[in-house]
Amino acid sequence: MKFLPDSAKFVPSKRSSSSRSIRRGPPELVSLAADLLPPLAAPQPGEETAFGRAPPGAQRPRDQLRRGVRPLQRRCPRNRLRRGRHTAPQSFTGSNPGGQLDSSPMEHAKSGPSSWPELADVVPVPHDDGPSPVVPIAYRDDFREVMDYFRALYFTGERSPRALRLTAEAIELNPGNYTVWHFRRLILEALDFDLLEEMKFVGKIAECNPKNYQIWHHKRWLAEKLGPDIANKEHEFTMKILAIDAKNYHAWSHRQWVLQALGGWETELEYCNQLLKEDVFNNSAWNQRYFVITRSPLLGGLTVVRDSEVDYTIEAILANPQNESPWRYLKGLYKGENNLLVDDERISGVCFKVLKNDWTCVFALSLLLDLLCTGLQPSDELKSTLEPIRSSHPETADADPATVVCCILQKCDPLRVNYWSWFKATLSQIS
Amino acid sequence: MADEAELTADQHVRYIVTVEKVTSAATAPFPPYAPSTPPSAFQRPLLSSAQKKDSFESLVMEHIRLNGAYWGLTTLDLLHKLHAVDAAEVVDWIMSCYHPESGGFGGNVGHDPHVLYTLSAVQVLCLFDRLDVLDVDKVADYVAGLQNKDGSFSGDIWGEVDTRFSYIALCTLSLLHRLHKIDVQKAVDFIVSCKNLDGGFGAMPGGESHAGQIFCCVGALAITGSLHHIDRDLLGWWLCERQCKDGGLNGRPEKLADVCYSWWVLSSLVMIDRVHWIDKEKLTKFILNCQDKENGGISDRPDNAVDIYHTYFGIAGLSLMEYPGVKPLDPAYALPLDVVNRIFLKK
Repeated sequence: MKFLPDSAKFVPSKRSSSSRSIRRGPPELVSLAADLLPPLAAPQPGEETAFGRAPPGAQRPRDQLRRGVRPLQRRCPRNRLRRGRHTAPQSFTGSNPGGQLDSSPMEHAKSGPSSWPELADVVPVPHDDGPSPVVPIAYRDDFREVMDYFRALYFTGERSPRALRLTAEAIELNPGNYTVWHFRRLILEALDFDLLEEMKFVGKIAECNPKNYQIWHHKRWLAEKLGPDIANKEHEFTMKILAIDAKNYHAWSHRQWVLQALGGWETELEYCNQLLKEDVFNNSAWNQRYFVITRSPLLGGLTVVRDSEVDYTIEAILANPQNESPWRYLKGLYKGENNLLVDDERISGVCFKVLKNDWTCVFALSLLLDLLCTGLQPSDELKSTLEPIRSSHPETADADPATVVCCILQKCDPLRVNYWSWFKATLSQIS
Repeated sequence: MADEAELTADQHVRYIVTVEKVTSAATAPFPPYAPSTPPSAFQRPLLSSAQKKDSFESLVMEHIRLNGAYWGLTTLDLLHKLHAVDAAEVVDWIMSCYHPESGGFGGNVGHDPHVLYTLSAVQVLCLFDRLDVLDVDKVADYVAGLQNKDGSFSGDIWGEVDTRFSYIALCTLSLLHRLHKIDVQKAVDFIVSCKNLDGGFGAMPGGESHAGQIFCCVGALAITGSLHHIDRDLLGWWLCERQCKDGGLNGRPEKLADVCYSWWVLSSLVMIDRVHWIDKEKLTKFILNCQDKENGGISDRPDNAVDIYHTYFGIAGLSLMEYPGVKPLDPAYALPLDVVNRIFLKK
C-alpha cells in the first residue's frame, strides 16, 4: 500500500474570483431538518475531477485546506438554486409499458401538460394558500401549469400511467417536492410498475441532484423491493456519485445501507484503499474503512485486522502528517483499550517521528499527550523529541512532558487555546 | 485594522419580512424613515420587492414553507420583532397545513404530513403561545406512531430513518409534554448506537460523524436527560476542531466553513458545556462578514447570496455567543429561552 511520497506536488483548484459587490447565485431555502448536509457543487467545465486532479501534496497546511482549496467545495448547495430539467427530451423517462397513450414521451417533453392529449379531460387545480395566505407566492407559468395538473390528479387519487408521467414531469421541475414522490410511489404500487425501469429513472434524477434526500430514499425504497440482486448495481451507482464528490453523505449512507441489507462486502476494503489513494484526506473514506473492518462478515472483526490497519494508518500519517482523519482512526483502532494503545510502540513511534520533522504538528502533539496521560513511560526517545521544544521555550525547562506538550499546543493551536489550557489544568489534577 | 463588523438587525428584519410576506405594506414593522437610511430604501413598496423575490426559488421551496416560516419567525423573535407579524394569520395558515386524519403537518397547504413540518408547526405555535389550537394528543400520537422497533424514528409513513427524525420526534413530544407516549429508553439506545469512535454521531449506525447529525443526537440526549452517554471531552474536542482559520465552523474534517454550522456545532458545544473551547470572537466576525448589510440577510460564507436558512442560523449562532441585542436561544429546543421557560415552567 503506497501513499503519496513527500515530493508529490499539490495542485490548487481553480477558484472563481469574486467581487464584494457581486453576490453569487440566487438564494435557496432548504428544510432545517430535511437537508443538513450541504451538497457539494459538481465540477464545472474546466475544473478537474477527482480522478483527473493531481493528488494533494504531503505538507499541505491545514489552514490552506480549510480555506477550501479543493475544487469541489465552492458553495453551500443549500445556497444554490437547484433547477430541475424542464423540457430536455433525453431526461424524460416517463415511459409506461402498460399505458394507453397516443403521444410519445418525446412529444410530451416539448410542451406542458395542457397540451398532452391524455390530460384533455383534466381540470387543473391551482395552489391553495389557505384561508389567510401568510406566504402567498407568485408562480412561474410552466411550473404552475405542471403543479396545477399534478394537484388535479393527486386530489382525485388517480393511479394511472398519465399520473405517473405527470409526477415525472413535476419531479424534474422540483425533485425536492416530497409529496410528488409519495404520490409516485402509490402509483408505482398500484400499476405494479417495472421497478428496474423506475430505478433507471430515479438514477438519472439523482445524478443531477446528488444531495436530495427524497431521491435517495426513493432509491432505498426500490432497492428494498428488488432485493440482493440489485446490490451490485447500487454499489456501481454510488461509486459513480462518489467519483464526482467523494464525500457525498447521502451516497455513503446509501452504500452502507446496501452493504448491510443486500451485501457486496467483498471488494469494499479495496474500494476504501482506492479512494484513499486518490485523496488520503477524505474523512468519509476513513469512516467507511472503519465501517468495513468493524462490520464486514468477511474480515473477522477489528482485533483480527488491527495490526495491519495500524501499519496502513501510520504509512498514511507519515505521508501527510497534517491530516486529521488517520490520527483519529489510529486512536480509534484501540478505542476502549488505552493500555494496548500505550503498549504498541508503533503508536508513540509515529508521534516521535513526525515531531522530529515538525514539532508543531498539532495532531502528533495531541496523540502524544493522550499517551502520556494514559501511562506512556519516559524514554530517551521522548526526551530527545521534547528537547528542541524545551530549548525553544525555556519556561518549560522543568515541566513534566505532558505539561510541555500542552504549552506548545497552546501556542501552535491558538484557535483552541482554551481547550489546551483546560487540558493543562486537568494534568495537575491527575498528578 | 478597524473592526467594522456589526449586526445590521434592521436590514435582516426587513429582509425576512419581505421574503416571507408576513405583513402587508400598510403595517411595516419599522419606522417610516430613519435619518441614517436613504429615503429610496423605504419608498420602494414592500410588495414589489417581494414580487421580485418570488422567483423560481420561491417555487422550489413551496413544499417546505413551514420550515421557512419557522426560520423567519424565530429570527424575528430573536431580534425582538415578532410583533411585526399578525399572530392570528400565522396560526390560521399553519393549521391549514394540518392533517386532522393523521395528526401531522405538511410543508405547505396540500402537502403530505411529515415530522419535519410537524416540528416546525409546533415550534412556531410555541413562539406565539398558541399550542391551545392543537389536538395535542392527536399530534403526539402521529409522532409516537413513527417510532420503530429498534427505537429509531421514521420521518413519515414511507419509512426513511435518520437520527434527525429521532431529534424531531423527541423535541416535538417534549414541547407537547407527551414523551411518555414513546419508548424513551429505546430511542436513546438507538441514538447511542450511532456514536462513532471520534465521539460524534452520524445519521445511522456507522454513519460518518457530521455536525448536523451531532446536534440532533446531542439535542435528543439532552431532552431525554441522557447526556451521560456522551464523552464530553472527546466530542468537545472534535467540535472545536471544526473551527477554521477564517473563524468559521465546518461540519466535518477537511470541509469549508459555513455559517449554518454556527448553530449545529455551537449548540452542541453549549449542551455539553464546552462552548468556551472555540474562539468566539473569530466566529462572531465570520458570521458578521456573511451579512448583506445593504439588503439584509446572511449567506453561507462571505459574498454569497443570502437566504432565510442561513440568516436564521447566523443569528442563532450570535445568540449562543450572547451577542448584544439578540435574545438568548435554547440550544436543545432551538427556540428563544423565554418561550421554552414558558412551556416548561408554567406547568
